[in-house]
Amino acid sequence: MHTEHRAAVGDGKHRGRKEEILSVWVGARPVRPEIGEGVTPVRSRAFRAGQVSPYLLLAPSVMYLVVMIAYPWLVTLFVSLHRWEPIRSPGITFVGLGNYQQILADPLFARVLSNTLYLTAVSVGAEFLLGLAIALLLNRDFPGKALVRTLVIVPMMMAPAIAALTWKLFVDVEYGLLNYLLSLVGVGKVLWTSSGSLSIPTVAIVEVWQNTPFAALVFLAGLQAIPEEQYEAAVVDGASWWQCFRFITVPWLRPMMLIVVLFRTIFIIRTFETVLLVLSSSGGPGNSAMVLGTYLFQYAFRFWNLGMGSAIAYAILLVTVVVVALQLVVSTTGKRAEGAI
Amino acid sequence: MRTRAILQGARYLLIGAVLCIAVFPVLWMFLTSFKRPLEAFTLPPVFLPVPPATESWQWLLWGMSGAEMTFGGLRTERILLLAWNSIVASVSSTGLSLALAIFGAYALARFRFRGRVVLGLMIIGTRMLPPIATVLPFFVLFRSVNLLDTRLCLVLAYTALSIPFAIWMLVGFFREIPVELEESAMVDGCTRLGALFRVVLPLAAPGLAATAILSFLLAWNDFQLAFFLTSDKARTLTLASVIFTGEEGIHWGPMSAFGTAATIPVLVFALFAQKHIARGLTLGAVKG
Repeated sequence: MHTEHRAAVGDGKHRGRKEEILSVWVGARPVRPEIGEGVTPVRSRAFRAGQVSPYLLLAPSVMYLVVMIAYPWLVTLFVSLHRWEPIRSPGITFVGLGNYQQILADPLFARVLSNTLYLTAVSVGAEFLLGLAIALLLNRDFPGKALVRTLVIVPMMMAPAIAALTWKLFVDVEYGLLNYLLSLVGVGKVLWTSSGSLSIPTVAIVEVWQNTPFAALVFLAGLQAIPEEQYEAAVVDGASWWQCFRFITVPWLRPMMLIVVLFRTIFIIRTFETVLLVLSSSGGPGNSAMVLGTYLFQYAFRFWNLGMGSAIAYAILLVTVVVVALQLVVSTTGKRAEGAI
Repeated sequence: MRTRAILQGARYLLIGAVLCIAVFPVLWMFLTSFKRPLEAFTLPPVFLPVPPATESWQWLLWGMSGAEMTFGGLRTERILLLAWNSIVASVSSTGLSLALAIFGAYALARFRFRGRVVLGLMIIGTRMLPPIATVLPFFVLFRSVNLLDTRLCLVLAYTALSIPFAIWMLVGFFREIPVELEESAMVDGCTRLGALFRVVLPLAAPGLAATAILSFLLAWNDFQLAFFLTSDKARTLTLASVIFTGEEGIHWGPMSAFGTAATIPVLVFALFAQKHIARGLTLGAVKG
């Protein structure tokens, strides 16, 4: 049977495009038994009594998800094609793609979309780089290592709402700690939350503070899996630190990098409470910081325009799918190129 | 040799800087819980409240032991209800989602069947649905069955979001376990499910723990779903931060005391569980 459960180093067998994308999404460690291998396929003769159908095992989960996720989303789709403003009028009228047209025609939406993409790019990028740096820093045995690692993930452990409110204290323009410290070194008052151009970066700072530990944690775990011998062999061959990093560390960390980027992207596109609590409004000064999350909030729960809200929900879904798909494509292309070398 | 010492020194310095940045806001929140209302938000900022004012903590603790007390208009016995709602919602959803996910993950990990790949992708794909966008569908759904503002609706919602994540992680952990063990158990007369419960689950216990912890945190720290799906009776603890916003502004003292109290258990948790969490995050995802 299969004895190669502990993965050896290697590049794995040739894969088709579909397998590539799957393996990148689901995991990229080659030379592991395929999911479902090593056990009798459902249709084989060895499927005797005492076995249980995998469909049966999956049924509860799938049914639950269908009811709780698929069905509501279908309802939302339905609503998004209608006009439904419960406060104004009890009726619900069909408007086809009217809501979507309204979204596209709304100049605010363009702003919202660019804000969200900007926030995503900046935050995920910063978290990625800082997380990697921190992981590299911590990837050494030193006294107090366990304590340091625990302290580093403290930001991640705080409830985002509380973290946002704490940071609100720091970035307050008049009384905040940040501006006070800056004034001590002679820098003038920075309009963190009251300037149109700084409001989104401020939100980004809070997000990055809170979520870099996630990246650091994932990368650190990945770094610790890299066998020492690879580095030793490379050093014997005269490799510099940069070459070690580029040709050993980076390839080994590729799955982690993808996890970090995908995870964080999916979570940041939906940012809501950070903006709401740090800026005390849906969009900050002049809606300069309004993101998709608060845009939806405004329409659905301030104006009680559920038709528009539903349409925006689908817009968010679409944006997420597109961004994730792009990232997957980019990462598989990168993998292909590397394999070809 | 000198360069190595310098590099080491620089490394420690950087680590120290990182720690400072990571810990400082939490520390500040802790200190603020001991400040008088005026001290919390003044210029120049007060770092260490001397002498420490314990009103905020007295309010929080007395409130927690049931005594009626108000602090600048805030109702304290409400905190107990909020905590209870949070606990019920988080624990129930974690339990429920794990129960369902264990079977599902086992099926994905150990069987080869038609539609396995597609189902797997779909399940994991639902994780991609941003909760803020899920809020509206949930709102519409729960409204239609009159379940808004109940603990039940929170449990149902959190479970729905937890299951895909739990399945994703558990599949990775299950695959870590060699099939031979289950097969020998079945040769000895065990049924498939028996093998699952007697062999796989005990061995995958650390993975189960990691998954449970993360699911729990997901529900416990959630803001968006609770914000929209509850209004009065089923409010959770994370939303309490909103309570502290009064007409005169934010009551920083009590809020910080509350925030500290809410964060400390999670921190202690983290101390013990951090190894498992890191392992869980990477194993579950990499080995797919």
